[in-house]
Amino acid sequence: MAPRDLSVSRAELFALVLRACRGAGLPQSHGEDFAVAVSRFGDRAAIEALARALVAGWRMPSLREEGGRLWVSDARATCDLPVACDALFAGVSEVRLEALDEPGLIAPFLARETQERALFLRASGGPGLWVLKRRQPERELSPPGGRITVARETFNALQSHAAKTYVPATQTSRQGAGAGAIDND
Amino acid sequence: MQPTRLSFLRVLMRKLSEMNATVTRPLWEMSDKGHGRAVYTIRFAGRAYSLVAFSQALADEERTDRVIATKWDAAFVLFDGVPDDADLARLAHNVPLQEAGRLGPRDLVLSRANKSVRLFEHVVQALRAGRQPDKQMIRDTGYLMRTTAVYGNGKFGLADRETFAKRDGLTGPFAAEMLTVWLIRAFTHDLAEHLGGAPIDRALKRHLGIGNATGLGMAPFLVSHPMLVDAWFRVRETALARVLALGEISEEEAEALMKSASEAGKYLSSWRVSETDAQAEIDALAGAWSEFRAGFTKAALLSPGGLRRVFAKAKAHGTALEELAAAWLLEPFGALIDDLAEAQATDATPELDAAMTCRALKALIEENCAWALECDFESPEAQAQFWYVSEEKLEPRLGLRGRDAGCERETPLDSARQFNALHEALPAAETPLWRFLAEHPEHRAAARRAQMLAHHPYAEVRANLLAQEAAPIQLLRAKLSFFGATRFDPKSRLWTRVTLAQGLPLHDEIGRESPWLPVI
Repeated sequence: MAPRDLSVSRAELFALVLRACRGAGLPQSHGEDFAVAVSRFGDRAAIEALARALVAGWRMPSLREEGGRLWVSDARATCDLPVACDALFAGVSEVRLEALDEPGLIAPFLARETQERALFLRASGGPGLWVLKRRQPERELSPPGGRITVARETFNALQSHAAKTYVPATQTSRQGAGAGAIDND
Repeated sequence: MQPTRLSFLRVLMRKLSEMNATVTRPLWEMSDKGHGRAVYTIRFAGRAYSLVAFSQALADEERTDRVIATKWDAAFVLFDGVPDDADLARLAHNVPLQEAGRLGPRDLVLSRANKSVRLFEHVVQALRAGRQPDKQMIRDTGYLMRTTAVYGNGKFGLADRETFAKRDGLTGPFAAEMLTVWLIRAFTHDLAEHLGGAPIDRALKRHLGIGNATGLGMAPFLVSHPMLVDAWFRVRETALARVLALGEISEEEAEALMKSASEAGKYLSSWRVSETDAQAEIDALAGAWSEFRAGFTKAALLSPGGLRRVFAKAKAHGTALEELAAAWLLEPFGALIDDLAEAQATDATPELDAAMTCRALKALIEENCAWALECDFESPEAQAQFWYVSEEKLEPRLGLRGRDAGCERETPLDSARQFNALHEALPAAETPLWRFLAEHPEHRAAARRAQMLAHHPYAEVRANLLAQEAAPIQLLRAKLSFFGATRFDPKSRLWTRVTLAQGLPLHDEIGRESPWLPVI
C-alpha cells in the first residue's frame, strides 16, 4: 500500500459515501444507492469516479422517450443511473445515456441492481453513448468483500462533501445530545 | 420494553454454553494503581478472540460519558485471535485514542469505559479492609464501570461485520459487541479485585454487570436499519404468538412462570433511579405487577387457554405491564422459541418496485402509514425539532427549529414528514412510479420505504421524530431491551444509563443458567 493510500472497511466507506452524496446535494435515495454500489461492488477507480462526479453536484435528469427507448442527454452517473435503472425495472426496453460523465460507476451500480433488485442489466457502448438493457439472469453475484484501498486524496475529497452535512458545534448544541459534562458519580 | 430470553446477550450466553467456550487471561500487567494492560482470550468453535484492555489514570474533570470525551478510565478492543507483541504495540497506540485512532481488519469491536466512581471506590476499600462490599450499594448501582460507546462493523477501520458474521457464535445481531461487553465486565471485576487485594464474593460479583450510557446515537440506527428492526420485532411477536397458541402447559412450566413472576416483582422493587418521574413510572409498574400477579394462580396458568387469558389481563393494566408480561411469558419456553433467535439477523435493505402505479403506492401509504398522514406538518409543533450531526466528533444531536443553527443540514430521520409529502404529491393515476420519481427524485427514498411496509410491518418507527413531544429515550429503550439491558435509568428525554450482563454467568461459569432479570 502506497504511503498516500488508506485501507478502509466497506462499512466505513458506505457511511462516508452516504454522507458525501447528501453533502453534494443528491437526493437521499441516490446516496443510499451509490453507498451500496461503491462500498460493496466498487474498487479504487469507482471510488475516484464517484468523488469526481460529486463535484458537479445535482441536477434534474434530462429525459426524452423515443421509440420505446429512454434517452438521457448530457448524462451524469450520480443523477441519472438511478432513474435509468428504475425505468428498465419497470419495463422500458432500453436506456441511452449520452455523454455520460463517469462510466466507471456503471459496473458497480448495475451490480447493486442485480444484488438488491434482481435486475440483470448489460451496458455497452463507450464515450459519447452508453446503452443499458436487460439481460438474461445469471447466477447470483458474490460481492468482492474484504477491504478497499483508496487514495487519501480521494478519501479526503469524499470527507469534504460529507462535512457539508455537519453542523458546527456551539455551547447550545452540546446540550442537544444529553448527558452532563462530568460523570463522577 | 423489557429484555427477553431472545435478547442478544442471553442468546450469546446460550451459544457460549453450547460451544463449551473457555476464557483465559494470558496477560495481566497492572500497576498498583490499576493502570496497565490485560488480555482475555475466549475460545469457541475452533477460534480464539481476545479482549485487549488498557487502563490508565483519568482526572475527575476528564470523566464524561459524552461522545465528545477524549480520554477514559479504560479502553478495549476485541481482537480476532490472540495478539502478539506487535499487535499489542499497535493496539496500545490506537485503542486508547478511540475515534482518533485507526483500527484494522483483525480488530472487531472498539469500546471504552469509565468507572462508576462511588461504587468502584467502595468495592476496593471494602476488599482492602477485609470485608465484602455492601450488597445494597451493589444493588443500587449494579456495575463497576460504564461503557460509553461500543463500536463495531467497520467503524474507524474495524473489521466489517460481514467478515465474521457467519462464524459460529457470532451470527446474531451485535454478537461481537455483546461478547465484548461481557468480557469487559470480567475485566472490571478483576481490576477491582487487583486493587482490593481480595476476591469479591461470587454472588455479589455476578450482580455486578457492566453499565452503559447511551445518548442519541442509537436513535438514527433504528431509522436507518428498518429491515433489521423489523426482524427483531417480528421474532419477538412470533415467539409470543407461539407461546400464546399453547393450549395447555406443563406443571414445570407453570411453576417456572410463577417463580419468574415473583423474581420480576423483586427486580421491580429493587430498581431505583434518580429521576423522580422515571422512578414514579417504575413504582407504578411495580404496583401494577403486584396487582396483576394477585389476579391469577398456578391453576389458572395450567387451565386450557390459561396463558392467553392471563395475558389478556396484563393488557388491561396498560402498555408497560403488557410489555413486561410478554417478556415474562416467553421465559420458560426456550424449547419452543429459541430457534427464532437466528432470524434476528438480516442484511436486507428495502428496494423500490418502480413498476408499481402511483395510485397503488398512494393506497399503500394510506393503508400502512396512516400514523404519518395524521400529522399536520403545517403546524410548527409537528416539526419543532430537527436531527443533525455535529462536526464535534460527529455526535448526533437534536436542535430546535427556529432557535438552533443548522436545520438546513438536517439529518433525514423524518419518515413521517416524507410519507406525508409523498402522499400529497402522488397523483391518483395509473402512471408508473418511475416516471413520477424521475420528476420528483426527492420522494424516491420515501416511496421504497412505504413499499417495504407492506411486507415488513415492524420496520418503521411509527412516530413523528420531529414533533415537539417526540421522546428519543423511548427509541433508545427499545433498542437496548433487544440487547438485554436492564435497570433503565433515564437521565432526560435524550439519554439513559442501563446495566448489561447483570446476573449473567461469570467468565468461569459458562453454562450456568442466565436469569431473565437480575435479582440479588
